[in-house]
Amino acid sequence: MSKQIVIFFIIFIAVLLQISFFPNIVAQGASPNLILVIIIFWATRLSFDKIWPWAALAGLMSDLAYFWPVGISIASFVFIAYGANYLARRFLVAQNPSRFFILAGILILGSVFNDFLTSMLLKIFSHEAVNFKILFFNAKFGIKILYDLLLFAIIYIPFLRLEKYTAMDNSQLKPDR
Amino acid sequence: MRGVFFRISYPFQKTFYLLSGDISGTVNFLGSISDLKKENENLIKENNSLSSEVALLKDEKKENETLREQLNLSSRKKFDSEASFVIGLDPQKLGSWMIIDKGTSSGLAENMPVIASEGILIGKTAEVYANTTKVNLLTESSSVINALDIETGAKGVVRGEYGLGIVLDMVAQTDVLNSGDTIITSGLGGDLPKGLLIGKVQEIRVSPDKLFQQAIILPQVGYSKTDVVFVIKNK
Repeated sequence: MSKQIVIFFIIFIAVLLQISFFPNIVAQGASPNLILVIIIFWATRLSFDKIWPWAALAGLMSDLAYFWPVGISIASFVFIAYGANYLARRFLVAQNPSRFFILAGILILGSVFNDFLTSMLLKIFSHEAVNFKILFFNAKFGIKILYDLLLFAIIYIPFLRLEKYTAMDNSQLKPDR
Repeated sequence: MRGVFFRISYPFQKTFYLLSGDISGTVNFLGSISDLKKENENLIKENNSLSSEVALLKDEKKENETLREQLNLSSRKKFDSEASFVIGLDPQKLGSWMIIDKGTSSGLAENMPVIASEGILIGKTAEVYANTTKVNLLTESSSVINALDIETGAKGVVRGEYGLGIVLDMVAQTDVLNSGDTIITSGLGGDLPKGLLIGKVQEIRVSPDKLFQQAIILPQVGYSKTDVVFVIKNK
């Protein structure tokens, strides 16, 4: 139970850092997506069965914090968790020297897809005006992805240790390889 | 559900926002250390010239007050306003809302104008909870405000452009717009008081259907760099 509380608390703090910490220290529009980075990290290491409830919870908290209709981030995070998990099973082989680049590639794909999917869903469900040209083709979007990669590198080791502590082992991932 | 979330997260949000402000300030300070000597020399020069300017400014203050009355520009002192700290910003896309640390417990309600410093409009309250309120900024794509050009009297609506900036739209082709003109709220519709400063005209263009004029407005404050705002409770 205490493990679940720790993971819940990590997601909760990550959501709050997302709206009350990062936007104040980086340029507007270049704020990294810490929650997404954490979800992708877990999705590449754990089985989808283990990760999707946490992805859904992170999505719910994000929707509440961003004032979005509930379901937008939930759908996006669960879908990205599935995609990242699939790509990890397909391409991430242990001791592969290009492991870091594959992880970085999954993260970049996840970031782009998250912005695209949430914008599409917002356009459909809350009739928000979205201009994809402005959203994706600006320098800040590139910086945001760089920040995401940087965050991924920062959380990598601490989260590996946390994995051991919470026993979130990847045993369910290994047999499918 | 959202109210409960913000009630629980309120102390964390405030702490994180203050912490990030301190970090941002420290980073800026460290980055400027190498320039300190040069800056010191400049400050001595600037101090000398400022002393003489103080005397001039006292006169200009009086002039400013007179002009404010003549141009119908509203001052914050005119309103019953509630000072609030910003505790959250839109992290997605290009920024279209902020969260402030006051809510229904301080008498806030939906659609109240939010200003920065001396009567500069930055947005309106949207979702109000016990201790937190979402403020939709003028840059928000659904934001539409009746406005007028002080210098020429041209009327139009100010709307947000995908969180990127603000545009004065629907200005008749027969009206005159000049670069550098001051844009204020017109008070039409009654949802906002007349005379709140919005910004200055930066660039003038014709609308895609060629029926109206449009002007890109340069806001008078950086919305994402605003730490304290005032919510006008009586319009």
